Amino acid sequence: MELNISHSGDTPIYEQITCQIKGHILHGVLSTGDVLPSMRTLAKDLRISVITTKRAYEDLERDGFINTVPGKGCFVAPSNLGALREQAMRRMEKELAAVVKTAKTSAISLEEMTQALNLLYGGVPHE
Amino acid sequence: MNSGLELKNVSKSYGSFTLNNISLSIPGGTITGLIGANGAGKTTLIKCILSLLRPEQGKITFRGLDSIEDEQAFKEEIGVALDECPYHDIFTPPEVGRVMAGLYQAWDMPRFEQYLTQFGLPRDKKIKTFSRGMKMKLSIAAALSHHPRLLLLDEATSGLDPIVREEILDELLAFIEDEEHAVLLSSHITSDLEKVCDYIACLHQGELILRGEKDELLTGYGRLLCTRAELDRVDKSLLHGVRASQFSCEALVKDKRVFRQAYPELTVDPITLEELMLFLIKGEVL
Amino acid sequence: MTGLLQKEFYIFKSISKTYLIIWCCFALATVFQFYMPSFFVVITTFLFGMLPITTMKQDELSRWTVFAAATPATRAGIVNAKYLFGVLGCLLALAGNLALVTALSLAGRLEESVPLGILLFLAVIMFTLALVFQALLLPINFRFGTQKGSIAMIVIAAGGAGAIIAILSVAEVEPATYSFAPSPWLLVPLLLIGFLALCLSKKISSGIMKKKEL
Repeated sequence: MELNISHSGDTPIYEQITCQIKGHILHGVLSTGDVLPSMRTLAKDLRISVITTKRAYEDLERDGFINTVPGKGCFVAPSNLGALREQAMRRMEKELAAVVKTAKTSAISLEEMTQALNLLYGGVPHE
Repeated sequence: MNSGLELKNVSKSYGSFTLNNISLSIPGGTITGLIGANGAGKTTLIKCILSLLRPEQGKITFRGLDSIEDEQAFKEEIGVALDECPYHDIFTPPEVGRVMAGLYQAWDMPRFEQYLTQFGLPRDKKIKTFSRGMKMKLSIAAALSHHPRLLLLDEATSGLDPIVREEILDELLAFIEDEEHAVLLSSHITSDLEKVCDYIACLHQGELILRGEKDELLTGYGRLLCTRAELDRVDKSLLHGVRASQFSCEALVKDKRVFRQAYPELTVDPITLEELMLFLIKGEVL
Repeated sequence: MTGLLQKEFYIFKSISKTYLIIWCCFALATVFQFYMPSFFVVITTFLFGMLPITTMKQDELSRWTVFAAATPATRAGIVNAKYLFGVLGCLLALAGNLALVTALSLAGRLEESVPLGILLFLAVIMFTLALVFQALLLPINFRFGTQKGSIAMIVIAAGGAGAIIAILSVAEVEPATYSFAPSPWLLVPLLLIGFLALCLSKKISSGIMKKKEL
């Protein structure tokens, strides 16, 4: 599991971690039952505060992505993947609706839009 | 909360200097960095914690132990490394170990020996022959070797080369893996504090002017570089301090995200701890 | 607190060679009659009686006291250890004096100068005086530091030693004193005074250290 943390952006670091781990889970880089590094190990590795990693893990647990087993560590939560994907799908559809509206009002064709989409998607890592 | 170091309303004045009503908590499992200019009160605060100076008012406790009522038990818990190595020139490290064994109930000689080896300190040479770095490593080795729960380091890493400092910072990180342990680290080397601290507290002229989570502070605050004209039209409530030079202005932005949304055309850069401190201390408050 | 005593011993160990050499020189000189035995007794007492202050000087150079007060020994421990070490120093002086006096008497040198009884009596009086010497100087050194304390020490030591030596020289020359046979029981109240002075002094020093800002 690799994380790319930027200190120069706007996004708080714990949010970056949360998003990236969610991304890894949704993309299958992390599977159900995989053990995550401890909060302290991660903090030390990324050279950030343990408070930040703790917050990130707490958010991930709250959103159902991971489970904490006291004494054992944090594990990727099972079975929620379907529901989470559905959630992400719905969010995407909503955002796409706005994009489609913009395209239609400016007379941009579906082909042009698809081209743009391909270009943009090409820059995102996927398996 | 019983775990951690708690300072409540600590005040101390001597001469023209006053440490004014400082309340601070250092939670267990964390490292707090104490920053500020020379004479801001960092050493005074640390000395108050150790009862080297008597505060006029205030209460200092660690895990429920009072620094004055339970002085001995309190001090058993604390590993101290001050800015100068206190051991006499004529001692060798093993002799230091034997003296310390008679001072702390929980002294762990094998552990001390381990640190001596790890830090590369010779057993049979007198401290007289040690470099400053070696002396400080010895101080820190001794501070760590009696199973303390609280580490107080007052400029203990200044004058050390980056490699040694990294070794020591790694030791501190290992130390706080135990949630019952806490560290208060005062230093001018803000890059070190950026690496390991969970919280930052800034003292200025005896007042606590800043206390927050390090990551939040560094992602939240930002540095605005702009011209005077641009500065004039910015909403001043979004800024904290300004430093104007002849050709440009620098300002401390309180919340980068909010500011960038309001003024996307202006450049806000990430800020280092040192820059943050300079702004808070030297910037003109708006 | 035992760690503090250990520290005192380590410092003493490092200077003990010098002390031994100085002491042996005086001892030999006395044996070969360059010095009067009484003079030797006084010197030995001051040499070893000064030990806690010598170590205090070392402490100041290393800024040790500040650190020691931050350990569980606390300020009270610092004072206790220093006084205890001081008493041990005086006992060492006493042992040294008794040793030399015995050696001299065995070597048959004493009849020519001073009777054994008087010298033994003198050794114990010097022990008491050393306790008083420490009782006076330790609080001054705790309060003002060893640099300023040195001035007080020189004044007291020079004055005290000078007076004692003067009295003794007169006594040694004066034949009448040979018939002076002091009762050993006189030593008991003297020792008591010495220890009481030291206890009072320790109380004062504890008070000083308790209030001191380090």
